[in-house]
Amino acid sequence: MRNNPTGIIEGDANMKREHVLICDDEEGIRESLNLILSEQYTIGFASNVKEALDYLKDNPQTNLILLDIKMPRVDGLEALRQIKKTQPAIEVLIVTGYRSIETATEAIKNGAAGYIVKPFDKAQILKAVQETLEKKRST
Amino acid sequence: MNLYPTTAILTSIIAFAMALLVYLKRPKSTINKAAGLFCFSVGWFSLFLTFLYLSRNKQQAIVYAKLLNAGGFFVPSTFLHFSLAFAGEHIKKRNLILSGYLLSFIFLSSLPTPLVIEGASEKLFGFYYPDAGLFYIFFVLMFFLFCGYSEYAIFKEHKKCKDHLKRNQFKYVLTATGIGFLCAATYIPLVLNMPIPPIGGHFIFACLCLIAYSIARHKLLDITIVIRKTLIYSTLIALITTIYMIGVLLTEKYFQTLFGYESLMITIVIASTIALFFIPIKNKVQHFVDKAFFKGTQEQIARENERLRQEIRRNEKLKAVATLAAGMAHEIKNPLTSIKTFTEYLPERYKDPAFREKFSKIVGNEVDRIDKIVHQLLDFAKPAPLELTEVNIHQILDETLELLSNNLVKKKIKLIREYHRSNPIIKADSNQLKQVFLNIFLNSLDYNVSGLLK
Repeated sequence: MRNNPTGIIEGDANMKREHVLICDDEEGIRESLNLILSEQYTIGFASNVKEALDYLKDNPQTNLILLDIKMPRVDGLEALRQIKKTQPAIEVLIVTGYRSIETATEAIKNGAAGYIVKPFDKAQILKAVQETLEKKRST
Repeated sequence: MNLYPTTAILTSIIAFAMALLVYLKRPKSTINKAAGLFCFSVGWFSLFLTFLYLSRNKQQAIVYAKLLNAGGFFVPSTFLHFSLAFAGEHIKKRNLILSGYLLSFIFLSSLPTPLVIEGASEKLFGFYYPDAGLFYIFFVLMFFLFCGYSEYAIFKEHKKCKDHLKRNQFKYVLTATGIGFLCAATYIPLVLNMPIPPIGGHFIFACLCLIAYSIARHKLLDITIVIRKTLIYSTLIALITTIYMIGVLLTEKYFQTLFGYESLMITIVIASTIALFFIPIKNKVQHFVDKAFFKGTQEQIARENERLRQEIRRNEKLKAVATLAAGMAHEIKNPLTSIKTFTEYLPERYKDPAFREKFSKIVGNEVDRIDKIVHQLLDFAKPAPLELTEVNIHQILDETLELLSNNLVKKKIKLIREYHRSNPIIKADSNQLKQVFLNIFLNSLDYNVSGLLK
């Protein structure tokens, strides 16, 4: 078997793809990220933190979460803490509209692997996801 | 009873009281320390001047003459210190201040000798008065140079100052100390054996009273006095009592000269008449001082306060609009992100009917969202009539709090939401309610010390 940065693990007859969960309350954002990532990854969706935690329980093979930092009711950083508590091995990329150093610092401190600012483009998302998953595979 | 010792003791009491008050209120402030020293010097001078006037023999008079000048020698240097500190130049002109104090100490050290103050003799309506020594003229020179320069320093700062309150304070100090300086200068001629009585001495205490009044009423020297009313009352009563006593004495003397007749009853009638005109005169003086130095009567000040309150309200609204704009700018990023991504894929996917359907739905919705957000901002900024509709207050709170999420992260404030109301539907104008909540939250973020917003 040979790993490659596209997320598709070759050599397996079922062409196992890495699992990415998109957690955002906005349908437009979920569809946009799906458009970018669905060719290479298996995508799951959650529109709030509770749904995300339920999804992770049912899909423990999930490798990466793209988590919106601003969701209704639950603070994004609090959501990050809860996710890392239940699944410490999972990688989380924070997606946010705030380009502030304080938010980035807090996110990294709470275990996020990286930080993406909206509006993002296709290449930015693909690069961030690929690099994060590669780092995870190598550890 | 003669006026000279009376006004001298009054000046001494008021000066010592001011020295204590000014220093104790802010002992670490340079201005307060310098003002305290200046008042103490004036108090010391006036106290021993009183004793000099009441001296029974030459030996006693000489001792008091030297003692009063021990304080008098420090009046110009402490006044310079205070003026430069008040003008904010005490650090720049530190050497000048130190030179002043050095000169004062040199004059002080000469007191055991006849070089500056030779002694005392009867020269003022039978009262003893100091005699100048050979080098007294140098003290006179120091007095005029230092006091003149001090007035100039305050005048210069007054001209430069743009702050309305500070300008008035400068104007007030300039006037009061200018008059005090001229009054104090009248002590000098008789020391040099010029036949000019020190009539200015009767008015120095009035200048001190006016400065005390300004300290109490208009926060001169940044003193906020809890017993402000009592101090104003006491200061004015002291001033008025003296005027009253002067009036009674002069009128009594006039009637005695006219009728050759002394009567206690006449004195009481005169005193009562003067007392009747007391309060109206006091009110007129207060009105004049406020208008001349603080640009307005009570009504004008009240109008100015109202104008300032409106300006504060306007600034709060602008601050809220700025926060709302920042929050909404962030809100717009989400739909823009979706539109951007879908248009990026349009060239390669436009033949895919499923993609086209999704494109149409998502992009259309997101454009509508942007439109709504922009309208919300416009509605917030312009004054609108109240539109009462049924709104969900929990939802309004959530939407308002979302605008502040970045502020919360930046200030490391944890948000706790506890909504107890079982039925959150109320009748209100949602935009105006949002504006109110936003102002409340912004103010609480500004003054938050606990790190919690509940």
